[in-house]
Amino acid sequence: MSILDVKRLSVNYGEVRAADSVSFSLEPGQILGLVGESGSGKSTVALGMLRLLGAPAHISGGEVNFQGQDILRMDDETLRALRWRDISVVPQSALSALNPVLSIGEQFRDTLAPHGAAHLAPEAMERVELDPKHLDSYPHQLSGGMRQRVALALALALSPKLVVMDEPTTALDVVVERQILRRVMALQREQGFAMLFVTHDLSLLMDFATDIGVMYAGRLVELGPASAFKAGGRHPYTQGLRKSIPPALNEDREPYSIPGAPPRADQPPSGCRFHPRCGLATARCASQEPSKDHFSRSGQESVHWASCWELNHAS
Amino acid sequence: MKAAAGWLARRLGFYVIAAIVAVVLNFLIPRLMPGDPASVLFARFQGDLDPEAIEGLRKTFGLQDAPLHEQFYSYISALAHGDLGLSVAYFPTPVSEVLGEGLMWTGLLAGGAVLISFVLGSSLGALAAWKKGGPLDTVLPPLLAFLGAFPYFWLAMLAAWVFGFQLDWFPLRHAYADNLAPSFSWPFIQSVISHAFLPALTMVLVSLGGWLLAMRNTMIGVLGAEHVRYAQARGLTPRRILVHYAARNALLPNVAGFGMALGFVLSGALLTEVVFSYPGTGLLLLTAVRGQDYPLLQGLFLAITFAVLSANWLVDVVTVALDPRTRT
Repeated sequence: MSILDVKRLSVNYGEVRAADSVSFSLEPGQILGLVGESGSGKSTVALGMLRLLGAPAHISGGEVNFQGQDILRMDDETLRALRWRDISVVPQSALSALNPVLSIGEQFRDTLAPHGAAHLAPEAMERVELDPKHLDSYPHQLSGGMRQRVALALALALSPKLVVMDEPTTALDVVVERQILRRVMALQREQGFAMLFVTHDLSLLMDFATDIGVMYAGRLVELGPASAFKAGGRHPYTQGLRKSIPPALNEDREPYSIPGAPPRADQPPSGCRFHPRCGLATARCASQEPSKDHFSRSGQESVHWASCWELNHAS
Repeated sequence: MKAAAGWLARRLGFYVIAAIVAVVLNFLIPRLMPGDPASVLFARFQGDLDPEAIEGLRKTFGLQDAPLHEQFYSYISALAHGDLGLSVAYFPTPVSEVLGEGLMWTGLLAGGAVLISFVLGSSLGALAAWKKGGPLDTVLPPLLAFLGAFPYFWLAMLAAWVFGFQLDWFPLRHAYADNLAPSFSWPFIQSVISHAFLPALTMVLVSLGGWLLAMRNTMIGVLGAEHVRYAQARGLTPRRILVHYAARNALLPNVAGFGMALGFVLSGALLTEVVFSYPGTGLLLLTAVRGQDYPLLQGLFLAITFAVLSANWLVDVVTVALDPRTRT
């Protein structure tokens, strides 16, 4: 049974729909990477499904079933009991996410003590290769990489079932990013939690995610196993993203970029939202929303799909 | 921690220098002004004093024709002994005694009012921001802004007239009833409270809105910050988030304002003390100006300067205690 089942989740910022009818599910131990450009709605989905977005954001539809219970319809106290014991979050910037006036240790205690687990803090720090003496430090006294490790230590301290990572390494340089991700993967294998990993870096996801979802202009346009993306992906937008990853060895190749710019969120294009930038677009793409094309299934569940009218030509 | 102690010591050094400058100016300025207190006192007795008496007075007041540096030396050594000379208006009471009494009452009344106003205003502001658009947030800010917009003396006079004069709920003058001797007894304390109640209430009413709005606005900013969302994601109780993740952070910029208000307490309560005939430093200031009581004025100015400087240093200490980022 899926641990998390998101069905047709829509999130609005006032009138603007930032995430439109997004559906996906997560099995225990699965690592789903959600990739997209800035403003594609990937963080909105990740934070919105946990009811962490304040006004003017609001959920305009859908269900988020966690272990069979709908998070969106839970009362505040039930949800609060679920937080951190079962679901934790690693924020994008630990500097702004940690309270500047409380020590790291106090923030651990605030988080763990209600679960009777305050004593786990030093162990959690060691797990991410941080000296427990930094529990006495304040956030501003640590480097960016150390702060991000603190956030990771906090997220994993209670061995949750689901960890949502909202661009956890975006603010770091590539060397530190790799170190931390290697640690994350090792801990994931150890603890077996499911992970939703939000990033704009597709190449990163292809290295460690089991599944990848591609978002464009508020919609999920392709979802499938990472292997399918390594093979090139099916949706023209995914293929564009794949091509725009600079090659490490073949330096002669011209860097590729998808023509045009992402649409404004308050004026999404009609039909397929990618059609103004798509080389394969036809008149139908501009007028009708594409249906999902399923490439492989396991039982009732679709394992790989993309929504594009011209898929036969694209592949 | 070490860095913080060093920083606090440097700040203290700065305030000490400022205090020395104030002491020197306090000595120089009156000596650069025309006229002297003895002539004023002489004029007050309208010729009933003979020339020897004037000489005697001049000596009593320490008005010598000695060179400036000798005068400065005697001024400093007197000051070091807490001797600020004799008051003219309250002759022959020493200034230090007059001042001491005034400081005590003003400290109690205005200091108390500023403290109550800051604590109450900031708490209400934090709550208003927490439930933004709620009943508290809808009613209080406009109401308190309305009260704060009244000219203070008018509001004070209205309160004195309605509750003191017409309804006779509160006494109208002095710090305690005339038939009581100061002591730590319940009737005396009760009398002090009932005398301070109206003036303190009017001071709190007009300043509450400012604290509330300042806190509400910084609090709304902090509530939108990442660390509050992250605390919520971690399942912290709303109470814990409100107090330790939002209000504490939002309070930091307002501490400086509180320090300023506290520093100006000694001079700031002038209108209150005049309207309610409350025997504090504000009333003393007025009496001293009217009676050309130079020694008392000098003493008051020194006290006000020291109050502002001490309040500033207090703010530095509190800031260091509240914000770890200032410690390293």
